[in-house]
Amino acid sequence: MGKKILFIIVLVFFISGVFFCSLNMDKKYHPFTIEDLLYLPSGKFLKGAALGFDEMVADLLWIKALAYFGGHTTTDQNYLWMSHILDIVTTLDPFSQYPYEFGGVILATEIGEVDKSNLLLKKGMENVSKTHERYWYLPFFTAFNYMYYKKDYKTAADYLKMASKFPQSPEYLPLLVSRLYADADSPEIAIVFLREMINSTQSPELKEKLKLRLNEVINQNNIQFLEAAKDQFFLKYYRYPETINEMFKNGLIFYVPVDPRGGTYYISKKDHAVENIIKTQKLKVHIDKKNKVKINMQPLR
Amino acid sequence: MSRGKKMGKIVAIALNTFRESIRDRIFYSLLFFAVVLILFSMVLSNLTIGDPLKIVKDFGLGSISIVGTLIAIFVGIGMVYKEMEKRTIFIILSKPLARWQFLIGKYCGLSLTILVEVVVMSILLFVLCFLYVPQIPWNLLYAIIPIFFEILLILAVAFLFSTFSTAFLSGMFTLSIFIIGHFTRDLKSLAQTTEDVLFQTLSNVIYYVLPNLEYLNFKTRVVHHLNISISEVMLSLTYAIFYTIVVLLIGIFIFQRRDIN
Amino acid sequence: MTDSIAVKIKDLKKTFSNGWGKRSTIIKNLNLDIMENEIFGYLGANGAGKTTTFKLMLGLIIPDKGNIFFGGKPASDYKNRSFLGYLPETPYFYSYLTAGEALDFYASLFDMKKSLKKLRVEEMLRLVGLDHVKDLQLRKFSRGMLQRIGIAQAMINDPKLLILDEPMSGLDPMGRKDMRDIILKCRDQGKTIIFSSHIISDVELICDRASILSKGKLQQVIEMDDRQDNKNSTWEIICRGKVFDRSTIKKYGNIKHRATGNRHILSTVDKIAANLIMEEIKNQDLDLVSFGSRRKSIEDIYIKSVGVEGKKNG
Repeated sequence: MGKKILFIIVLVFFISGVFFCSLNMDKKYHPFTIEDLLYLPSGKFLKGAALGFDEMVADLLWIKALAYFGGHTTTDQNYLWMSHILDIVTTLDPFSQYPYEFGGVILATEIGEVDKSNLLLKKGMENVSKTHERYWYLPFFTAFNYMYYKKDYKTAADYLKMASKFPQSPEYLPLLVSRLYADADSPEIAIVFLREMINSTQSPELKEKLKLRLNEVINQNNIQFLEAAKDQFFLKYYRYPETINEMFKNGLIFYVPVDPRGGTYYISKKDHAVENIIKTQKLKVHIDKKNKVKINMQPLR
Repeated sequence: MSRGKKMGKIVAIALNTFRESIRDRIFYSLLFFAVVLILFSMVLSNLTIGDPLKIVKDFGLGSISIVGTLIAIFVGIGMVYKEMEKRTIFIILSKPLARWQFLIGKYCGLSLTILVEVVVMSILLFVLCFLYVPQIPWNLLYAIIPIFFEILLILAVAFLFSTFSTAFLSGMFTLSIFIIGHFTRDLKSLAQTTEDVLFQTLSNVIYYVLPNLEYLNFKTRVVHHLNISISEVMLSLTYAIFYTIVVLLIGIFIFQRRDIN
Repeated sequence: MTDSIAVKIKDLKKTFSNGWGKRSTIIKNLNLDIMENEIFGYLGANGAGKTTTFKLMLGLIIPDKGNIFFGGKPASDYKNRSFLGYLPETPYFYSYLTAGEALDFYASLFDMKKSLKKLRVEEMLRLVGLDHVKDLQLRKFSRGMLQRIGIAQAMINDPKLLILDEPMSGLDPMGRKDMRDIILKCRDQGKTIIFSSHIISDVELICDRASILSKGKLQQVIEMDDRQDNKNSTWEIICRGKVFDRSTIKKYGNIKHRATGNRHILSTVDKIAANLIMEEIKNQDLDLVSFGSRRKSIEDIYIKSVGVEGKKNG
């Protein structure tokens, strides 16, 4: 009889010990919860289903996502899948920085979903440890989104300022911040951002796509520069120049800008606008037979 | 009977169990599977962009956990099954020892086997990590040690079911406890978002009665070099140890009373 | 032979439920005393409850009612098992252990010093003739060899009481002789041996006493000593001749007559009737083949008692 009582006492002792530990664990060390991305609740419930092997599943999904992206898919269907996958990956393994960074860039530049991109980047800024060496990319790319797509220069400058506080961020950032506060509508800033983006990624496919985009921006920048010079010419000589070279000869421009996409700039006879043989994607293709296309095989850098 | 002699019998059974299970084919297959998984992660790490070492660590820790749990369930239950099936248990229990000594001896023997698996896999993982970054990742131990205690808990659960249930059912039940144990925390937070009181009560009961295995899951934090407080680890280990003891006590209670046929 | 009781079984009852709510009784009210230093044969058909009785003795199963004592001490306390050895029916062992390792393991379950353990293991291996395969893995052993390891582990602690469940099974005639010799030697050393069997000749050859267990109850306990037991002996007379005229001895009702061709076998338990038969053979001028008293074989007793019980229930 005595043995039975002892047994029961010991059992009760250990059972209470279990509850004690459990309650203390919950009180002191809150179970980790993540803010949902509003449009994709599925990631959160998936977390339990991975049975504690979330990181492995996240890794596998991440590699799958990269493979998909690398296979240069062009249909919208697959890009929709991409944003879904990115949300799941970052929910399963919320501390991993790179998926936020990569996702943020492609959601904005390739898929055209700027708001989703911002949400993802913000999720990253909340979850990723601030001591992470690549943390600064997250506010940096958020700043780009606000500047380039939303034209919200104030917010962009704020985010850029945040990024500049991190020791791994490039030294020119504070300069860029003041530029944004002052002279916001300048494509040169976009070029800086894009160059940084190309530099940051190891994905060859993304590098290619970003380079195309950068070239577009440089092209736009060049056109803007030439337009400004053309207007100066008009103010000086009361007429529009015939060729780009003319402006060069007259000292209004100190160099003829090179189109990194391989096109050439010319003044159109019709409306005296600065145009390029290779049009930007958004405009219709206009081929002027008079000027031959000069294929410029200069590398980017 | 003096303490030393009592311990001696438990040790004898433990060593015998250890020797038997180390030679078990299931053990070898699972260990082999674990090694394959870790090597596979090296292949995967080449495909990723970002931190390749992270993939090796994730898979390494995951394999230690998965394989250890599978060994606990299948080798553990298989062992009890074989004893009953082949009636080797009759001879042992006819000797002058208490039933609880037999059960605890078997448990300790299998714990030793699992320790071997964890140590071997950990060494392999450390070596692989070293190949990527010339540094021994000692901080991984913060995840590995709780994993080991988690497996010991599951092993105790497997033993408990074996004392009264068939091998197949024991395996299914133990696997279910493992799954629920990882899900219970999310279930509780999910229940808190609903208005359903019944659901909330049910999920709370499950949460406190069944083991919350997520307490012992430090894998994410370790791989991302986040801060882990020693007191949290100690508390979680205490939880695991206490829970394991409770399960074993219940198992002893049931085993003491049943007919061996 | 001393008069103290080695094993006392009192009012033992055990039922099993077959999972569907029905209970079947395996052992009904068993009362049996096994005396010290005797060889006791425990007979019964398969399923009669022999193994169940042993398991109840060893604490593997818990009885519904009743008690078992080893030399006055309760069998339910595991400490009182240190003086017994048990050999189960068709024993199995951990296949990857060698013979030496297995015996050493079993020895560790007793409170034996290391030096004594080593001695006993070697002694037992020699006793059962397996010392040349000490380092051979058990999975390579034949059935007969495993049986011998079984008896070796049962005796590893030099027990006072041996409980053997079908110890002859799986052994060839030579092996059975060896087993019988071991058992006899054990008795000479002062041990008590209980063994169960359904091979009656084994029991007949070495047992001092035997009991028959049928359908959970003890039918009989038989003494095997050489003293003629008139109750169980039969006079058997065999003669040859065409016809045996029974008219004269008809008034003696208890004479059995079996005739196959020329051969007549007459048997009776009555001594006077037997003499009369001899007279008649002389008178009828028949050839006498043999005359003798045959002790009733256990086989007959067994079949009779099982048959009776069978008729009762059948």
